[in-house]
Amino acid sequence: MKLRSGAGGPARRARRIWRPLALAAVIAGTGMSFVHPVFGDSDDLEAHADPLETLDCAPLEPIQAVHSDYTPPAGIDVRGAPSTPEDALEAWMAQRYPAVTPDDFAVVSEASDHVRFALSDSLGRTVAVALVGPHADGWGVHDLITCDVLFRALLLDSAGEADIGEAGR
Amino acid sequence: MKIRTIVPALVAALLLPQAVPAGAHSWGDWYIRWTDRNVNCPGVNCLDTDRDVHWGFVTPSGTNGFPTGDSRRSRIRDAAARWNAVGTGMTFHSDLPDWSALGYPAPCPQSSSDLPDEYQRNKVGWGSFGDSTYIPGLEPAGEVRSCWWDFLDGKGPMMILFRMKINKDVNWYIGTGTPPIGTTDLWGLAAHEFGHASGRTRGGDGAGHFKDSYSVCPGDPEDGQSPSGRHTMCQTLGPGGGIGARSLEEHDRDTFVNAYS
Repeated sequence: MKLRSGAGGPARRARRIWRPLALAAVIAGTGMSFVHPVFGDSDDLEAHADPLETLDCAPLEPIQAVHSDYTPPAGIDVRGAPSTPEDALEAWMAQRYPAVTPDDFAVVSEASDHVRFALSDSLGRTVAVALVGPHADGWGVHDLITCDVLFRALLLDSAGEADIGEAGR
Repeated sequence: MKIRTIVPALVAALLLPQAVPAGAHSWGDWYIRWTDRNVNCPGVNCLDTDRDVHWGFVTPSGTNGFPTGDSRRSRIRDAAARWNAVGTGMTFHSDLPDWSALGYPAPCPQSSSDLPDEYQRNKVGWGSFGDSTYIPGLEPAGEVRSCWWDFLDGKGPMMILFRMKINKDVNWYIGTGTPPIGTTDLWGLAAHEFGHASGRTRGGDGAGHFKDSYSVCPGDPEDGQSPSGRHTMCQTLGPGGGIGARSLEEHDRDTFVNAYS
C-alpha cells in the first residue's frame, strides 16, 4: 500500500497549521494597521513624563493647563524669538505671571528638543511644570501645567490678587 | 502565498493578543477627556454627561472681545466643525450668546458649588499677548487654557472647562482660499486649538503635539508650500501659513476617536 504524501500527510498537516500561525505572529508583532505607528524616537515617553505624576497637587485640586502655540508664517523673520529656554520662560511668565521669575524654576529634564522646568512652593511641593521647546528660530513655552490652588497661593504670596489675571469667568 | 494560508493567518492575527510597539499610544497618552460625570451642583446640567461641549465668543466690547462683522467667527466655527465631523461621542456646540469677558487667566472652579453652568464655561476670545507688535516666536498665535478635575474614582482626570485666546496682533488670513505670504491661516490655527480644547493635552512632545520631527509632520514651516499629510496637531502649523492644519489627518482623527469612541 502506497502512503499518500499529499494533503493528508502529517508533515503537510503540520505546515498547514503552523505556517498561518507563524504569519499571524509576524503580523501581530509588527502591529500592521491594528495599532498606532511609532511616531518618533524611543525615548519620547520617558522624556516627557506625565506631568500629573510630577505635580504634588492636593487631592481633588483642579489642574490648569495652558497650551501656547507658535506659528511663524512663511517668509517672516522670526529672529525676535527667545534664543534659550530660560529666555523663553522669562518672556512667557513676564506676560502672564510677572511675580514669578525663571530663577524660581528648576530644570527637571533636558534634551535636544525640550527642557522641562518645575516650580516648587515653600514646602517643597511641585506646583507647576513648564515645557519649553524649540520652534522656528527660537524657543517657546509650549505648556504650563499647574496645581491651581497651590500655584495661585504661591502667586498671592509673591504679588497679590490684582496681578494674577481676570477674576471673572 | 496561497489564499488559504493568508486568510487563516489574518484571522489568527486578529485573535492573538496584539504586540504593541514602543511608542504606540492609547487615548490616555494624549487626552484628558471631557467629563461624563453627573455631579450634584447648583447649575442646570452642571456637568455634561453626553460630552456635548458648548462654547461661545466674548462680546466685541468685552475684555478679549471677539470681533463681528467679518468672517473671523465663521473660521472659528469651521475649525470646531472639523472635529465634530470625525463623529465621536464628543462634539463642540457654538450655541451660546456672547460673554462679557474671557476670564483669562482665571482660577479653575474649585468645587462643584463653584462650577459655572455648562453653558457658561467655554469661551473663545481675541486679544493681545503683549504690546500690539506681534513677534512671531516670542508670542503665541493662540492659546488654550483648560481645567481638569480628578474625581479619584479610578477613571482619571476629566476636562471641565476651556478658554481659547487668539492673538489679535497676528496678520491673519480669515478667508477660505490660500493664505498670502506673510499671513497665518486663522482656520488652521483654530483647528489646532480646538484639538487642545477637545482634551488633547499630553503625549507626543509633552503638550499633546506630534513632534515636528515625526513622519506625520512633513515640510519645513518656513517654506511656502504645504505638503499633503501634515497633521493638524503637529508642534507648528507648518508651511503655507498653516493652511494644511484645516483638515484633520489620520492620526489626528485616530487619537481623537480612541479617546471618545
